[in-house]
Amino acid sequence: MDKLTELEKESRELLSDFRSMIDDENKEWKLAPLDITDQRQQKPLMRRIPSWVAVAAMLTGIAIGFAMPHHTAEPTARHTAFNYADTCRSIEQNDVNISLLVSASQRF
Amino acid sequence: MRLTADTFRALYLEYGPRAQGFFMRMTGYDIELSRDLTQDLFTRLWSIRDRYDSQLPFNAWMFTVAYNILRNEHRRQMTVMEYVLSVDKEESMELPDKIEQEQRKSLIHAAVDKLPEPQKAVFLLKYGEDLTITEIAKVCDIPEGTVKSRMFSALKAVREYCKLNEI
Repeated sequence: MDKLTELEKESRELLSDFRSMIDDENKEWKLAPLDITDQRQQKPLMRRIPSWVAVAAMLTGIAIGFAMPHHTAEPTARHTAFNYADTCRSIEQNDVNISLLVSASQRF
Repeated sequence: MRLTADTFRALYLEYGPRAQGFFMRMTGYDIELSRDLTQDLFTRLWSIRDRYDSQLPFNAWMFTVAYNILRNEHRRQMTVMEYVLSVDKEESMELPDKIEQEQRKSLIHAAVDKLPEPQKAVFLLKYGEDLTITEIAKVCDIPEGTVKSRMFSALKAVREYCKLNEI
C-alpha cells in the first residue's frame, strides 16, 4: 500500500466530513440564469449581405461624394483673406468687436 | 455527443453549483467573483462545445476549463473566512455529537483554506469532486505523479492543522 493510500485510509472520517461539507455548501449556491441560444446557423449580419451589394453601395457612396459641391482651398483662402483684411481695417480704426473676431478666427 | 442548448442548460443546473463551489473555495469565498467566473465558465464551455469529447466526463472537462480560468485571473490575496455557524436556540440544544461534528467541519474548512493554491485545487478536485488522478492531471496540466504528491502534502497538512486545533 503506498503512502497516499495509507494516509487516505487514516483520514477516512476527515474526508467524509469534508465531502458532506462540500455537498451541503453546494446546495446553497444560487446560480445566475444562463443566457445561451442555439443560433449556430445564423451568420453575423455582414456575412449575410451578398458581396455585390456591398460593392454597389461603396461605388454609389463614392459617386455621391464626387457629385456633391465641396470646398476647395481656393475659395476658402479667398474668403479668409477678405475677412482678414476687413478685420485688420477695423482694428486700425479702433472699431472691432472682440467676440466677433474670436468666433471668426475659430471658424477658420 | 452534440450538446444542444437544452442539454447544456440541464448540465448547468447539475454542475453549476459544483463549479461555483470550486471557485468560491479557490477565491477565498468571494461570492461576486465566483458568480462571474461561473458565468464565464459556462459561456466559454458553450462557445467551445464542438470540442467536447464525450469520452471524458463532463465534470472533468468543466474543471479543466475552470482551472484555466482561475489561472488567468489575477491572484488575490486569499483570506481564511471565518466559518460561522448559524444555529437557532432550539438547535443549540442538540446532541453534543452534532455540535462536535459541525465544529470539526469548521476546522477542516479552515485547514483547506490555508492550503497553497496548487495543493488546494488538487485536494478539492479529488476529495470534493471525486475526480480521478488521471482526470486531475488533465485538468491541472501536470503529471500524475505530481497530482499524487500534492494530494499527499495537502491531506497531511489538513490532518495536522485539525489535530493541532482540536477542541
